Amino acid sequence: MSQPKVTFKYYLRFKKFGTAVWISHLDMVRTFQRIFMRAGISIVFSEGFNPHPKMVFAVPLPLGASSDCELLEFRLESERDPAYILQRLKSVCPTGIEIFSVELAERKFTDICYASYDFTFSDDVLPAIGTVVEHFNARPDAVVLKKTKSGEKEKDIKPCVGKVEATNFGIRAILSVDSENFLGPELFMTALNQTTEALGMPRISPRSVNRTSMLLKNMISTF
Amino acid sequence: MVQIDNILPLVSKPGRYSGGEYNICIKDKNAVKLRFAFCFPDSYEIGMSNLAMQILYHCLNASDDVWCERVFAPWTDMEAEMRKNNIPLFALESRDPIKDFDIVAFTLQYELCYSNVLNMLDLAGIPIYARDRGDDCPIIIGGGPCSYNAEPVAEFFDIFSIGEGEEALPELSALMVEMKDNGSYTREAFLRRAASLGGFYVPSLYNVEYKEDGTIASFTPIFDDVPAIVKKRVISDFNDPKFIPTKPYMPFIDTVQDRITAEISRGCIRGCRFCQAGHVTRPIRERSVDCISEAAQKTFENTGYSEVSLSCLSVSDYTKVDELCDKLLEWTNEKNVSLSLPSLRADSFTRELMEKSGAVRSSGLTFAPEAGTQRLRDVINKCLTEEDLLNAVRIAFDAQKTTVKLYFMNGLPTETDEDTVGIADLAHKVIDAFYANPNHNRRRQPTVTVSVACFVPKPFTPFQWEAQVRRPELERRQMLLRDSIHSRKVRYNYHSAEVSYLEAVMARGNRRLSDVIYEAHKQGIRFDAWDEYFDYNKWMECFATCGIDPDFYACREIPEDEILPWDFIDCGVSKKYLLKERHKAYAGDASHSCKDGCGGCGADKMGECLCRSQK
Repeated sequence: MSQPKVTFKYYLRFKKFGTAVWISHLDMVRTFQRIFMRAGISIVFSEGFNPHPKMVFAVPLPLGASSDCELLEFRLESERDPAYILQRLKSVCPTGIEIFSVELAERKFTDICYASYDFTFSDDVLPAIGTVVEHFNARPDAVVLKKTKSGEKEKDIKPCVGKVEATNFGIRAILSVDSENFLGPELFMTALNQTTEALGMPRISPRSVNRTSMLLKNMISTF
Repeated sequence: MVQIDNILPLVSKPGRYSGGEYNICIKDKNAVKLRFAFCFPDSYEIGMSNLAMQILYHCLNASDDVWCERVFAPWTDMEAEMRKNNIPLFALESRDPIKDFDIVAFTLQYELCYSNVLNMLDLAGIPIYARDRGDDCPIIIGGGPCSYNAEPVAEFFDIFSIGEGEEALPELSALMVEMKDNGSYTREAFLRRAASLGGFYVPSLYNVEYKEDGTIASFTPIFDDVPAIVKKRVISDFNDPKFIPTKPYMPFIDTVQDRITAEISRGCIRGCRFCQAGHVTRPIRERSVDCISEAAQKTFENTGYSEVSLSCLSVSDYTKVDELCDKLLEWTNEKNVSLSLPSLRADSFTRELMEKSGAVRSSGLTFAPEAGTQRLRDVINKCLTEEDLLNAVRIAFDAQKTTVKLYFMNGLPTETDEDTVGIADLAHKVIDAFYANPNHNRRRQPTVTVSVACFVPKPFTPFQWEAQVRRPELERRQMLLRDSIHSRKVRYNYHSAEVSYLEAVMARGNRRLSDVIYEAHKQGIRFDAWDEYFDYNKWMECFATCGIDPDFYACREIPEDEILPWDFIDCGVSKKYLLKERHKAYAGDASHSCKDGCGGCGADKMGECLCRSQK
């Protein structure tokens, strides 16, 4: 057996917006493999029969949502200046993927417990948002059907909701992202629409969803 | 610019319509003089994989005056949303409606895309018949393999570009810019000048007279300055790097071909008698090893792709194939880029080639004997012997491969049941070759997949006069073959005879089919190339409605002295040569490859051909 290689772990932070919001999670993996290849930065490959560049995204982002705070982990076989890596990568990114920081990894992705999302609604829905949020927050539970590998399952997602508030653009929500209690913006909207239904209002759906920050357990400090 | 952000969340794979792909060309619309919409009349995934579109996008955008953008057929869910929301067909780069463009071009890669062309014009809000379009409508151009007989869709197009478009399309664009600049542009004046530019066929400038039996009596230009024969275009220098796109646009979503495609040659030395591509792409030209490798390396730097695929009609016929592979492997290995060699011929297959190609990693190989007996292979001029094939599979089995895919055709001219059963025999012999090899793979059993297409007579082939075997007989032969396969290690699949029949009708059709295709469009027919949408009965109803007998086009042996709908096109290869090859086929004589001396096909008059430089 060969010795496990010593590698250097980096985090890369980027924004995703515009046409790039339509790149799915799986396609993002391939997109970044090619960004690294174009930049001439050879990241550590997986072992095995079909080696491929190894990278990990911190928290999956649903198709159609934008983000100010995406995080990607990759490894290099030798230590490189993060500023150099950043400059190389920035020059070969597609529109809508804007890398703004590369750093040597010092924390763990598992420290990320929550993410904050901004849901923007059209003007005709906005006046009703305050009432919807108020009623949603007052609910003791929010049981929704959650798709899992083994089919659909009922789950109370209320404990996965950190905080929901009405804003001048719509809703800001802090949702759990740890693997046990993951709550994505889509399922959150499903739960929210149970409230609109109970209030006898039509379904609401946001014009856009933007992830604004990755948060630690205290829901205040960013990762 | 159309608004689609609200409908994208509602459709499958929104990445097909979002645009923003890496390496696309974005220009200032106010700074360009001509807007060019390049349409691929099928799904995004198929169209984005097409090399011709990639090349022409590159050549057109090389001009500061022209902005060429991509358009694909929206999938049915997107089409429904677009119609519901009154969103006209738009180009991906600018999201501007293509009805406001100057030129809208369609690449016609296969006959079954015709219904999509009409649907796209309709979705764009452009009148479908050319005669209904005024000066404010874009000029609609067709090109690609089907333009060698585009008569079935002649009523819908203003111009067809015949042959290679790298220089022709920029020339046509320049003509339009010039005429719009000096104020002389009208649709009529432009079409008239385009017709004499060379390589452009303007259907409205030709008059077709028919005999009572439906065959063509005459096909003549309406004006004296319109050429009676349209000669296809061939690019001036196949080795000129300016024709090679080294910054190809890259899809985000998964497509059919998503890798570096390095085109290494055009034309084919073999001359299989059923093959249109092998004839119309002559003269035979090879790109130099250095030119290919440099372009591929540059493309790698601009894309980050992890695979290079060599593209041409028969990779192993490239004269310096070993040298080329070695040259590529010099840098691909170091960059973790794999090399793949599709379309290898069994008679020039070597262990070295296999080891150099990505085939090392895969478990199997693919060969195309096309016919089951030596007699029939001689008839179709597929100069491949049983021994060639068995040698090739022995090499593969020795290298621990376990799967072999074999391509065949059913319904070839002179085919008998013996030939059909011969396909099964050949497959069994490949299985036997596996077990006869003492060094065969001990962990996995061999599998031979036999894939059988139906013969479709195509224009500009020695078999262009042949009748297609009728559907019930084709289906009988398909079942005969199924019953002749005894080994469970042989997998058998075959193409639908119904689809091949429609292909044959369209391939040899004339202008009278335009109304049938329009009727099909009215009946909602589209995406014929997709099994889930192909509706044979609906098509047959359209033929009946228009009073047209499809058998006339598909199942009739055409007399050699009859005027063919495509006779006015000069593709390089002469009709005399095609006839000679046809007669040799019936005599059971094979012809040698162009590498063993010029066969006199006539294509060398269009430019230097490999057959001359070889000897």
